[in-house]
Amino acid sequence: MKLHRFNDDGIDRFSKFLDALSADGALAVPTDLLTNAACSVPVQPSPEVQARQFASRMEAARYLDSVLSGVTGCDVERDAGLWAWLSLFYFEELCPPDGRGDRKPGERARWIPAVDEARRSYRHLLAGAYRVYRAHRDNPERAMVLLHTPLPRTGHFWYQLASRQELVTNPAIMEAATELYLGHCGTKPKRGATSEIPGGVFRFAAVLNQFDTVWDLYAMKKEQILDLLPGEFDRFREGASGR
Amino acid sequence: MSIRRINSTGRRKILREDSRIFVRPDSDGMLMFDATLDLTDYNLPNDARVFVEAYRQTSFMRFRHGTVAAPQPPPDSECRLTEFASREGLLFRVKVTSTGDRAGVLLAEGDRIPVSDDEEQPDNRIALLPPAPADLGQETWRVDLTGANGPLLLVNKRVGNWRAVAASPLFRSLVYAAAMRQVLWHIYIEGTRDTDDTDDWRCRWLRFAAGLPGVGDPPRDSDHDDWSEWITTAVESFSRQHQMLDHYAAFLAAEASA
Repeated sequence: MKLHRFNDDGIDRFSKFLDALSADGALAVPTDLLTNAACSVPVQPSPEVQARQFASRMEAARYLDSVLSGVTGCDVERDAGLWAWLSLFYFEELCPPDGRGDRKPGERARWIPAVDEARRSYRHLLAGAYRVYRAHRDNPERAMVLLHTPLPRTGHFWYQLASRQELVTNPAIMEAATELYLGHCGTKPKRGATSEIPGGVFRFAAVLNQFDTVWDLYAMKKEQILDLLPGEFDRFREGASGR
Repeated sequence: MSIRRINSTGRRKILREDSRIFVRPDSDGMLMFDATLDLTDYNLPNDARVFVEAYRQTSFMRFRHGTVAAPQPPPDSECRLTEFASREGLLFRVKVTSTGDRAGVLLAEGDRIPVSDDEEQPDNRIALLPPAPADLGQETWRVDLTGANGPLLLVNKRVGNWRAVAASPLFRSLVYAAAMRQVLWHIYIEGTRDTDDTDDWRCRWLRFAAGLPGVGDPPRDSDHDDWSEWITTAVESFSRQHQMLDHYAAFLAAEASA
């Protein structure tokens, strides 16, 4: 299908569907909105977007980057209509029904990006992953800590790291977090990494937030970041390259 | 709730008036920036390095800007903001870092610096609750308390001319007192009691409220009832000062006679 974006009416109708879905999880998905001329307009220069399954947020982000790289005439990252349309296009992937056939869409910012609110814009399931991928497109693997999960799942890594601009845009910090918490397999968190225990990702975000007032963290390499972390991180440092 | 950061090393805060950033498109339409920095009064080492960072959410660019003694803006060809398709929401950060034994230590920082408008005249007034457009669904307005530089009064951009709406007597009379109450309660919940640090938006808000007629300093302790009374007094005084009810009544009267 040709890539489209919702206009205001399209966003409204998608929004109303999400409201209704919260009350009745078995509602049919209004895929007709995707091509309804009253709700959506083609994006120029009309790239094709394919319905497909993604093994991870990384895979989805990589694919979306390939589709969107040729789009001109709009600020892709801030186009709420574009991302809302893509959310509906991939709704089966993003919001699969549970065992009883009910879908649970959750908060609105996961579907229609809050592009004007810095602390919520990262929550969009597709735009959030895409932005992280774009921020690290010279080496997306370094952000695997944020992109290894299945598409509909965000989790504690996401909320602790992607929500903080100073952390998520810093290559060394992302590389350190991936090495610290995923290890070399790169697909599964180490035990306890997402718990509120010493050395876990909650502490990682808090400690680096404080270090950011002392050090120019953007000038550091991954090894320097890992070396800065206090002893409480030793349990996760095993196999990582610091110290 | 946001994590408060402690300035344990005494890094200096670079004031907005000393860090002006101008953004303009080049001949290809690509955004470029010019930074005008005045670091002379910060008592920084001459060889300390200066960096300018542009950012918006997950987009980020960093530029060398020479040293404190020898500022060296990047040449035009390297001032291009290639990561940003528009200037909407674009913010800048200025960092000064040490060299030598303490290399990488942050000596001074100015953060959340908005683009200075070319037409803007120097103005040191602090807008405590600047309005900003946002897509809020069916909500008309919302106070956004998530920014590090202070609250924003978000106005649904689908109302049409959101600037005119935000400035209208009707909107102001119905919204501003409620928004002010929300901000003050947020400050109470976050635990800020200090009114001396004028770089902190919470302190500026407390000073603003304390300066309203008949209000006085906020309670020193965290007693809920004391704060409730203080906030109510502040909002009452604010509403009285701006004659909120009179503006609302005048609007209704004008509507009725139209």
